[in-house]
Amino acid sequence: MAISTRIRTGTGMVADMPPITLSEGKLTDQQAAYITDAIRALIRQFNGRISLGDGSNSSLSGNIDGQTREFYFALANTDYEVPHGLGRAPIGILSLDVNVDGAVVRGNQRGDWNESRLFLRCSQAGTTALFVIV
Amino acid sequence: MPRFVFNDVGGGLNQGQPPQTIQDREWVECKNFFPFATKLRRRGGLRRLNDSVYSERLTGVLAFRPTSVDVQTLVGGRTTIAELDGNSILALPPQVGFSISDSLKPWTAFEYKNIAYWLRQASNALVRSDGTYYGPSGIAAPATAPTLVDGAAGDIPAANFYGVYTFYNAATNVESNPSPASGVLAHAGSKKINWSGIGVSTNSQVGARRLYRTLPNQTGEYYFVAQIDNNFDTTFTGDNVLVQDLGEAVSFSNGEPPVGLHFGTVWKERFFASDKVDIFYSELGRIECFDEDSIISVFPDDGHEIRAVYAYGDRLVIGKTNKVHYLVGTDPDNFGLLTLSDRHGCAAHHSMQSAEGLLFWLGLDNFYRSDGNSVVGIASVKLQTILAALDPTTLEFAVATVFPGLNWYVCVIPGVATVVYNYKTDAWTEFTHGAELQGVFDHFTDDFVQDMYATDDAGYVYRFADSTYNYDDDGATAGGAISAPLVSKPQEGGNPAAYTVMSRVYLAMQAYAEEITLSWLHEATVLNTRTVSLNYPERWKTYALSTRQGAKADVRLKILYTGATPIEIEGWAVDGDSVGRLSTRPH
Repeated sequence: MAISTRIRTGTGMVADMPPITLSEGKLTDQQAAYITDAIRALIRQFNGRISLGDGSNSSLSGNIDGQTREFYFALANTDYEVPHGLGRAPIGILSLDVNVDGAVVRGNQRGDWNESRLFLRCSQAGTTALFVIV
Repeated sequence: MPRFVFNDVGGGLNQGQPPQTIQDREWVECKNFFPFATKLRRRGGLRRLNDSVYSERLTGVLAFRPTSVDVQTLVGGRTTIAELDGNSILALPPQVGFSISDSLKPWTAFEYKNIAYWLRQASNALVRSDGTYYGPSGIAAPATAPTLVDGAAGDIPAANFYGVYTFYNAATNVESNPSPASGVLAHAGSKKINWSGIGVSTNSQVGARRLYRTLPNQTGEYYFVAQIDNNFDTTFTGDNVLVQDLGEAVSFSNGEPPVGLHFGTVWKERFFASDKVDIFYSELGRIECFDEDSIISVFPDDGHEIRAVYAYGDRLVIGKTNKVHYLVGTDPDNFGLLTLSDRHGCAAHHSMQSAEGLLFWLGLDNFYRSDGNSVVGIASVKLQTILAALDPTTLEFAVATVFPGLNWYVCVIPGVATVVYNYKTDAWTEFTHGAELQGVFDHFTDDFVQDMYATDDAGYVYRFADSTYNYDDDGATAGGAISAPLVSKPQEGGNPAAYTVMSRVYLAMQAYAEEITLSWLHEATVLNTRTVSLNYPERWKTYALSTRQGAKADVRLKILYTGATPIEIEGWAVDGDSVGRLSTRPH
């Protein structure tokens, strides 16, 4: 089974913070600063900066538990196997960009979706679609 | 006559504090004795391990222990990697066409996945060795594209396909970036695919090639088809792998290690290294594979250099010459750069060590210790004279190790001093050797018992502070005596600034069939001296050593021991009385 790995580009990510060990039951000024910075980073990210990633093929879709895929549908209305790296059966897709007037849909093999692949089809032949598998 | 008794003598060296405030347990000179609880113990010897001199200065040691194999001691020289085999050092052969650039700088050496890695300033990029040879790390990507054509009847449906291949080391999972893509194969359908033009690698670690192919009619992403388990076949016939049977996508992040790296360490299954400007990091679990974007800038415009990269628990400590920062996180998505010290920078990568949650390093002006939150200088007073002799141009090449068995942080500053810090008792001492040591390195035996190895300028390896050896070897000369002097704080007989007459000295120690020299010093003048026996059963051994003929207001006891037995001094005492007359006329 083709195995796709989510490429981590870092887009939208918030930095980790060090483990906090209290000194005599108290926070140091430095530790308090870490915590403050970490919370502020989360606030900044949450307020209008939730990201869907950088759109590159196979990348982790920003802050979303998904994977961005670019896929070419050579034939219309034909199911194509699309590998993904979610590690779980997908819920569905969020369509981001389609280069022709066609719709990317789940096709007839929805029941075969699993932790590493899903099946999609497009109503138009020769379509390149960019979508997020979630 | 009053007796002044000092039952605790384990305070170590204190060179800088004035006599009136130095602790009774401290010494103004302390060489080759080390504090052990409240006692002082003479250190073990410096045992030479190679009988014949190696042809190069040695600046690195690694206890290399591949799985289920005994420890192989590898040493790094100026232009070679060698093996300590019995009592000889034998150079390993390099991979054909590979050589190590000449350098006197210390090596960083470590083991990962049964491979020994070596890295050094002004040398090659990361050098790898399996203990039988050494060569370059990383695998260059194939330069030529494969060719895909329709084969015999098969199952692959009609579509356009592209293929690539990689060079692969199955033992370490190190893989190259993919080759250029093949030309398009307009597959007719119901046939297999035949591959040709698969290149072979000149890199001796390559033992396989891996073939990858696109999904039908897709481009740019390639999935595993098959592995050729050799490095000589150039064709692969009968690829009949359908989409559902393809494997993992090929990685484009398997570039070779960057050139110009100076030092590094493995942290969280990645190799982090620095060229003194930036931090480069490898792919997870593949420390020879670097993505071209895997770079972390650490305040590159502040005019300072990165001097250390050290794995400290959940943190990767990055020591710059002006500050010490650290990295947290688990992968590039959430790496976070924070600052541990905005004042106390780091001078030497190899000086940074940790033990029991404490981190130690040598700065440009002091040794520092941190618990991960705060940073304190630990030697500005106690090692005042030694620190004053530091040369900023060579400071960078100080090498340290930690020996938890004795709670030691040991640092060799070539050309200046070898100092030992007991991180449990906050006590320093100095070790002196005839050999010009270049570094001290962590080592362990086949039974995982830690010991320390040292290297010298001449081309010898030694076991450092060997408790089973009571002499100091110095290159070709073996069996030299260890000269261990102690000088006490000034004794004032309870009456500062007044003349004091000392009459007897007492040493608390076991009986040893050895002699020791006791002297009373005033400044550089020896007032009285005696060489006495330690071979008395009484714990407190009494020696007459008077200063009556030359009483001074400021006298220090010097103890000099050059015997073989590793003696312990448990305490000392002196009978001394002030005569009441001031040492100088009042002005």
